[in-house]
Amino acid sequence: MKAYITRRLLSIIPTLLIVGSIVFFVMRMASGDPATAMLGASATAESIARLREQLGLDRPLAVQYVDFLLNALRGDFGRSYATGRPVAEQIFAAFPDTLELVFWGMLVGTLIGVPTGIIAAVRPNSIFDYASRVVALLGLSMPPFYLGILLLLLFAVNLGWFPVISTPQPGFFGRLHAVFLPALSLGLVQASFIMRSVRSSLLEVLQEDYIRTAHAKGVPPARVHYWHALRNALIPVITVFGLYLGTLLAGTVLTETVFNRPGMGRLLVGAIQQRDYPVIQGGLMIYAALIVVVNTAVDILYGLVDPTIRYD
Amino acid sequence: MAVGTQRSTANDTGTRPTNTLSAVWNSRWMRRFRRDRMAVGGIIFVVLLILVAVFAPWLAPYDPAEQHIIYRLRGPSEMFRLGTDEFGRDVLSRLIYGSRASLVVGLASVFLAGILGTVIGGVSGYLGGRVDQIISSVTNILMSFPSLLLGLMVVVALGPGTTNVVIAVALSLLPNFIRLARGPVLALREKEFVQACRAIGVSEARIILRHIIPNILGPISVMSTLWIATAIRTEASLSFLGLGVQPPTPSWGNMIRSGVNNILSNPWLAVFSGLAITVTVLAFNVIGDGLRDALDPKQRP
Repeated sequence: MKAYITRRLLSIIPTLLIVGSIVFFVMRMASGDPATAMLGASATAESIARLREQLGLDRPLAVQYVDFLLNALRGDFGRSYATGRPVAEQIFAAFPDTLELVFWGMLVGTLIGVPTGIIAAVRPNSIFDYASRVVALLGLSMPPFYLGILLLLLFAVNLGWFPVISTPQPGFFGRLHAVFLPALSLGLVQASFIMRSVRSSLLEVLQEDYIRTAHAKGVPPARVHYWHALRNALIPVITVFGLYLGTLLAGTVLTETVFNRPGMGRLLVGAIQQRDYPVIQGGLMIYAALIVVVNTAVDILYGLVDPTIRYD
Repeated sequence: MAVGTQRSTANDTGTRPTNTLSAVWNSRWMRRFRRDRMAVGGIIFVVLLILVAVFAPWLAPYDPAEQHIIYRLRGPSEMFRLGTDEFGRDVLSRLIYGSRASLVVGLASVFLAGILGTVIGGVSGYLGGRVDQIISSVTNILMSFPSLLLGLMVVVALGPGTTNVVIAVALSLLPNFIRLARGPVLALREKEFVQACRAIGVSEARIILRHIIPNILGPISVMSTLWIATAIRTEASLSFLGLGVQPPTPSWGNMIRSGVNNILSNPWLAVFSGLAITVTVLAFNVIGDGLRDALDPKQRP
């Protein structure tokens, strides 16, 4: 087991290396020249050539590639073509806002999703089960940004309880006020996914023979449900949690756009529109790194909680 | 042969089917599925939607590109049932034409990803060893990108447009299919019936084709339906960010984008286009759920 964990942790390094390569080459495949994009259509060939030289775009691709990887290793993603500021600086400035949104979104999702999933599974076909399933189905059928738009229309445009542009204000409550609607819209969609997987997983476990045995030998129902069953039911949920966190991260890109909230997603989308390669590369690398780490943690956790999985 | 297939293609007691179609129609799971009203409703909706997409020119009250400049950003009225957008184009007509983009991207990308992913994942899980290691780690890397970001990256590389969105969405779903096929195959490989096959000398290819694949088709068809829903959502998300289907071609995603940009003057635009996406995705989700319940009665509440 220890060897497995070590191996899993070490595998993060080549993974990130490959991710970096994919990101680099995909970005370079992108049609369009950043120098031209920066200077606009009216620029002369001479000024474009000069800018290309300044940005190091005239060097051989292989040199640029090795350079990119070595620098990325040091956390240096170059300077933004658009602003001239270091990419790392821009990312670190945007990162806390996104992390805040992810945290609250995941919290809302888990706090709503897990208990509703459990109650629905323990009382299958009850009104609660039926209602929560319908709501969850609706939640995961909405495009992640649509719920945001509806919340925005209701609470910001019509009721005026929240700002239409949710720029975080100083202070804990100022931040909370700004993150509330975005986190709610992300979290509710997330809750739908979590509720469904908790419910179906628990429902499956509850039909196992050992549960019937537990009931038969007189174990109190609550203990059967929450001790015997839930522990096994949460195993598959753990694996999907990693996926959900990824979806949530991607969801922030849309949510930040809907709510005009600063963050990594806005930075990334803006960079894509401006063909600001260093920012796109840096942003994607950070997203990927986060998710690789989460997936590795989930894999290790999975091995710890389910001894029947074999790793060789 | 008799060693294998856990789930038989199930015709019921006695009645001998005259052909495969009626065998499927009368099979136990199909009868269960037909009883599921939500799922049947979903099927009816999808069929209607396909008809709407095909017969769009006859159904749309206006040309979707026709601009009625004096009537910009109006709410629903007698003249324009669902209002107009920022160029004074009829929202209903654009929604009708927009169904084409969603359906094409949803169906084509899942078809592409499903075939590729099942083959790659199945082979990888069954063979194990070095092949599996390489394929899994590449899958893990692809999985490390949320499907939206992966789609975003591909679209950035290839440029926007419907074909590229199909490729982008297919690639973003591919790792899911690989993982889906690989997991159960990995488990099935250790099952007694597969070991029995191997013991009596059945070839690897035959084990995969005759004994493993039929056992994973259930989950794959269920998930394919559910992932059509995901694909439609991803297309909408990409178009919403301005990187998907490009205007003036109407797509629900780019309509919702212009709806958000004009949310203060005509909120209906965003509401209606989002509703179209939601109902369509809901229909596919309901069908997928119905299929799962019908194919796997153990999970039924």
